[in-house]
Amino acid sequence: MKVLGIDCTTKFTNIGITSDGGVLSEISLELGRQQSSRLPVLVEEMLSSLSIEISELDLIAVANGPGYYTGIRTGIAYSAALAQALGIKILPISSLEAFVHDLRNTGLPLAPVFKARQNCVYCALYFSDGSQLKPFVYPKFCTAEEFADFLTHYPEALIVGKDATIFNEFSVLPNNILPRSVGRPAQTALMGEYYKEFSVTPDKILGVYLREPDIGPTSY
Amino acid sequence: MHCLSRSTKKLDIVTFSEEETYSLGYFIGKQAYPGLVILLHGGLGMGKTLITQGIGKALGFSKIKSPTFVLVAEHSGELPLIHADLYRLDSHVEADALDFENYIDSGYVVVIEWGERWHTSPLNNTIDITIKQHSNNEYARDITIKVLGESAENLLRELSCDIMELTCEKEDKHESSGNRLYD
Repeated sequence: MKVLGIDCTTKFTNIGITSDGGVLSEISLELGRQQSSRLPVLVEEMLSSLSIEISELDLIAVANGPGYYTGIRTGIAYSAALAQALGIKILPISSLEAFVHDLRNTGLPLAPVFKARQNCVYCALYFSDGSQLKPFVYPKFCTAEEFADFLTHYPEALIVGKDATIFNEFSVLPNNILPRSVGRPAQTALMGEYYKEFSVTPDKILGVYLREPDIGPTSY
Repeated sequence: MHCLSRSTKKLDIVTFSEEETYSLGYFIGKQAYPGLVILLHGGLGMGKTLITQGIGKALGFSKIKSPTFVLVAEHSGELPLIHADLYRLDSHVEADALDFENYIDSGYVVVIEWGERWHTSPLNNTIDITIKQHSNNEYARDITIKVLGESAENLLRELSCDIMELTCEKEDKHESSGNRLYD
């Protein structure tokens, strides 16, 4: 099974191709706002360097948020159009889970953190049994203070993300912080194989913005 | 240009002509840095676009127009500039969808007219400029500049120095120490 994985939800554009659980190729580029123009070319280049025809793809896994609004839309629009054209399914993946998925073997609870506007973050908490991640707190949007308060009950949780280091609320916690700014680029594609039964037809995919358009006005 | 009051977080000035309002923008542009957000408030014709043109001039962009109809205009250069106008937006939800955070993190200078319609503007690296007409003078403006965050405070300090220098120079030339309000 060949899976193409795409994650444009952060500053980085992550692309990976996996085949039967093995990573064939992965790339992570800090493209910023050039994502939409470079993404199709990068995918084509990766496929041709592997001598894989685009028609050989069985599934496209795409990070559908939370993260940058434009990045979410870029990734989804490209992936959905490609899946539609190829007649294959598409699998929405949480960008927060993709960000920490390679750390699941540590057995530690994992708390990915992305900065959102003002004093807010996108965050989640996953428990790991050593081989699989289970969401304990589903991806959410809240103040850094709120999530830090919650994490005081889980001092063993590993906070993941360079963004966490800009908030004092997290630095004062006893928790370890892994200050990475980007996850392993092929994780999205690998997760595509793990979770393939949750894949949907391209017209069903939605962005998970976790801000007003889907959660209603907030007081922040 | 006349400075009415200054503090670390706020500067009140009066400009007496369109040229002076434009130069104020130019001085701000000279101090701009990547990720700086400039919110402009003021009614129609108060000079929001004029200030933006001054900022743009300092960054090397001479063709800045009011982006009321395009919402967001991108100007690429050494220090890239985003010029947005939220006049046509119906709600702050739409402002959120313009993804200003992305521009900020990508190192743009972000100038937003009708900035009050972006309810979730950043809490640092932000300059807030309010423009009002000065008494009954058609071309004079009361301009209040407020800053949020340490870097923006530094910018304000530099900006005040630039303005003080300019006004002192002018006063020397005019050989007058009188109140500029009656020039």
